[in-house]
Amino acid sequence: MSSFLRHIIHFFFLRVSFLKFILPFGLWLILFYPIVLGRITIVGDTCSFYATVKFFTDNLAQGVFALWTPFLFWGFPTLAEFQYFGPFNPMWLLILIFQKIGISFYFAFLWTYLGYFFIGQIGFYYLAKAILKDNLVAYIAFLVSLFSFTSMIIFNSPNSVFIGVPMAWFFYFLVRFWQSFEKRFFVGLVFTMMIIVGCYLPFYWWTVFFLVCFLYCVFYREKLASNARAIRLFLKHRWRLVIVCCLALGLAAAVSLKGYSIMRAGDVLALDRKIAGDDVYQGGINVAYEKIAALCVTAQTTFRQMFFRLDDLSVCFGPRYLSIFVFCVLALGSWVCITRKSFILFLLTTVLFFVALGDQTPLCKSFFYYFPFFKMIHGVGSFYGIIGPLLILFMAMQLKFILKQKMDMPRYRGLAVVFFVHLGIWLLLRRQPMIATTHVAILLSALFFSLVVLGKLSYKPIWFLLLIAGVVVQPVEVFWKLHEALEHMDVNKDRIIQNCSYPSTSPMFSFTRPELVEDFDVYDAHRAYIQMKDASGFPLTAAGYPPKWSYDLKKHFPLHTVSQYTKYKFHLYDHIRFVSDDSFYFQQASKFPSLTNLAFISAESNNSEEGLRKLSLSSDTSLKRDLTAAITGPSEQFDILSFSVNTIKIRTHFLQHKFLVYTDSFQPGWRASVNGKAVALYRANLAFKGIFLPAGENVVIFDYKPFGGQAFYFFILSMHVGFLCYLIFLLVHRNKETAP
Amino acid sequence: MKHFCHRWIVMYLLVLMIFFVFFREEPVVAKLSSIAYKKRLEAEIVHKINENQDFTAYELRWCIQYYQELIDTLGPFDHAYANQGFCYYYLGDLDRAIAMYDKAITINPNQYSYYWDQGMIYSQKKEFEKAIFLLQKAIDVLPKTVGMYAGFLRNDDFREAMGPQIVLEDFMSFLTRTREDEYLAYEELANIFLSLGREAVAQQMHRAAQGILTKKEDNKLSLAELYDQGFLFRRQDQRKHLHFHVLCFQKFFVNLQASAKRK
Repeated sequence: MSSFLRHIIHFFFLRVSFLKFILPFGLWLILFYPIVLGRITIVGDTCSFYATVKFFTDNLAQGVFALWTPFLFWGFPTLAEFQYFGPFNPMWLLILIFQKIGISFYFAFLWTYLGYFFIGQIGFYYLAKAILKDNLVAYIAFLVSLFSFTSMIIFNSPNSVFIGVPMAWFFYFLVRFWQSFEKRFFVGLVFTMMIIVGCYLPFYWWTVFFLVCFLYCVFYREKLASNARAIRLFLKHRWRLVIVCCLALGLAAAVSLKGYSIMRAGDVLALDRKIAGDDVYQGGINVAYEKIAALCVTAQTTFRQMFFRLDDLSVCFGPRYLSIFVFCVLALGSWVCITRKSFILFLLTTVLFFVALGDQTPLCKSFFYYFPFFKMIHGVGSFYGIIGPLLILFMAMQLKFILKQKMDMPRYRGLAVVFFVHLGIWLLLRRQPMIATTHVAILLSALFFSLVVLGKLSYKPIWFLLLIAGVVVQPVEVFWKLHEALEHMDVNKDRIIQNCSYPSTSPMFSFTRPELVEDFDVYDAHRAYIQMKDASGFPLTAAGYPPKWSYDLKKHFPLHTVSQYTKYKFHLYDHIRFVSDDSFYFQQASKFPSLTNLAFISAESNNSEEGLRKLSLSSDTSLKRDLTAAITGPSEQFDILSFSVNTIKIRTHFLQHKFLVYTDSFQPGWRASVNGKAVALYRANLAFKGIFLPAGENVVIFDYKPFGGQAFYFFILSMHVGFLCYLIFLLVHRNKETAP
Repeated sequence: MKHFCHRWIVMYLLVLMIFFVFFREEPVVAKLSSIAYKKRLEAEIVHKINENQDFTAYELRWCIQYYQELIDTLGPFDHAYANQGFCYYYLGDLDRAIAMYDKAITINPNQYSYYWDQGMIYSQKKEFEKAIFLLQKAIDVLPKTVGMYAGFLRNDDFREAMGPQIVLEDFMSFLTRTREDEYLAYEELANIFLSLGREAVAQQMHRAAQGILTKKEDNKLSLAELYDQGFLFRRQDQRKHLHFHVLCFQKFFVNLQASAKRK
């Protein structure tokens, strides 16, 4: 054990040079101190993720893997919703650890999230190092990345974190595996792929991965044969590991596909963003090309955001800010010779940029029509989260050659190039108001590269500091000026602050729901998640995936009627009737089953269950509704024995047969049992679950069990944790391993 | 020079050329998407007006940018310029605010609120001659503005799109607002003439203002009664209550209600 600890200490303090990460992270935290200390809260999409992550981890703390949310849309499956953040990512378990040591949920989430972001930045450093084989330049790339737009927008949009972190590590392990064919990199590769497939980002990752493979095959075709031999050798030596890894990856992918299949089957409705206007729910997972292309950032906007109005950036509007130093290097790099590696990077960046421009280039359309997965991408603008790091890597490659070749020209000409390039950049930016540090950064960059050309950089610490100052000075001012924008990131900040202040909780069961209100928005929906309480509305904005039939109910029936009926979670009926077509329900909108003693069962669930035949009725005339048939609270005849988000256990005792309708959305995957014996579950009254209830004492269980229930999902989660532990173990013990 | 073709400058020039050939024009759809996202700032301004809260410089600056994007995308239109003027005014840049109202008036000379707002700004700048002209102009143009909005009421498509009840309610509210603005314009003119030492004219203006204040039409409450019964906030300093025109809401006339709720 002591040897293991020694290894860990050695790993962190000697090999990784901990300080070189701590200092920039410290500076970054200082620059964002209002958010880090909780004076300003997270907003936008990050806030939405906060709500769902809280719902997920609060349930996890109770020993429940939440597969169903009974509080919103009268219940909906969470698998698709959770796919945005990846519920199997072991990092979310850190929140539970933080909470155990007494930290409030909000800070536990925030610091976990920030920690994950920092891990991604370290991954980017290692990736740069693996590609460039130069520690210093890789470190500069890391600094540029840390102080760029990718870190500015994380409090508003978590996509860059969820896309960037696993991707940086995936490509690091891929490059290292390709270089050495070592076991630890293979395990890392598989682990990061497991994280990626469990997240919303596989489509972005798949696009990049496909392009990387294609470009490698084109530009390094002479190496393909030797690579194939090396892979064959690796498979031969590590076949057990490969089989285990493939199985694990297959399981992770299967769970992910299950989430998508719910949407693809149309059981739940995905949000369809309009180009301009309010969001609406529409069936299916695929997005129309026009909508994918419309959610892009235009070339002009990109350039404007990169250079101009740096004193007035807004984190809400997706700034594309990169340090001016990057553009100084890129401009100086014009005189650097093209190499194969840098050309691949350049091509990759350009292609992705053209795709991200949406309809402005034919590339996006080609991708959309030729790659089926592209139809599931909700906006090509998110590719900027990948383009930024790629551009930084390309810049780092240019920097490496500039430092190495000293511009590859006579000194006087090199000096002239440095002077005119920086003057040109300065003159270009002068057209708009410039922040003070832009002048300083350009000056420092000119000074540094002049010294490089003159070969006067003999004392390393000085020029190293000069270089770092050139990289960081402008972002520091930009980030500092961002404080005002952070304060106003969201117009609904009061409600967000309120939502972020709720402590961890457990799901609350109530026999009744609050009355539905029309004016129910996404923040109200977040509150339902966070408090685990029944919502008082049906949000028509991005708040989850409503089941198809529940959405129909909300859409076609008067709000008051629906509200009255769904007020009670359980209704008892003495008569039933099978309905062959859902349109029948819509014709009955004015006399919904709350008014009669007759439940409707959809024909697809037609069943010859004996009890049902006793309740079957051909006509609903002269059926008077007994008001007591709605369960208003616990009684001797009806009581709740246990409740969690996935399961509800009920005890009933009625003298006659009944048909019980639970006004929780019907979905495939739900199971029902009476006295431990599985019974048929019907789609009743258009959107809800119903079962036949025999007379006498019964214990009824409604259980949501897609893929075998939560035990399977816990297994997948523990598999991810196991892989992470094994990966850390392999990385710590790296010296003992030899490549096959 | 023999390695020139191997250097990155060639590649950069190629990419730049592609950009200049293909991407000089921004597609409207993408712009609209960005605008749709930024319209929330407009909502924030209206919210703050209604809640009687102060705007921040940040919101006003971004709102100006939002309207500029709207103008760049959809072409120049008066409401956007007027709202830019509103934002500049609350940012303290009175000259630019006036310039924006000039643009709005050039496009739509029949909207009384542009003259009213500009007149109030001139009054604040103590440029009384211009203020008198503009406030008088606002009073003169007011019936035309009412006529213009009434024209919308007669349009069946418009009524159907907005909902007839909403349109009618908004229009009634708009009429109340115009009455109040006319009254306040006379009051401001009275104050101006008083500070210019022309007491007789000031008295005349004041009487006109009082006449509007107490006038009752078709069994409706007079302005004074509306104030007394709490249906309207009494604006202590009318110069600080410019009009904000809401472009993206269902309620067409809400623009004039919005600014009126400020105390």
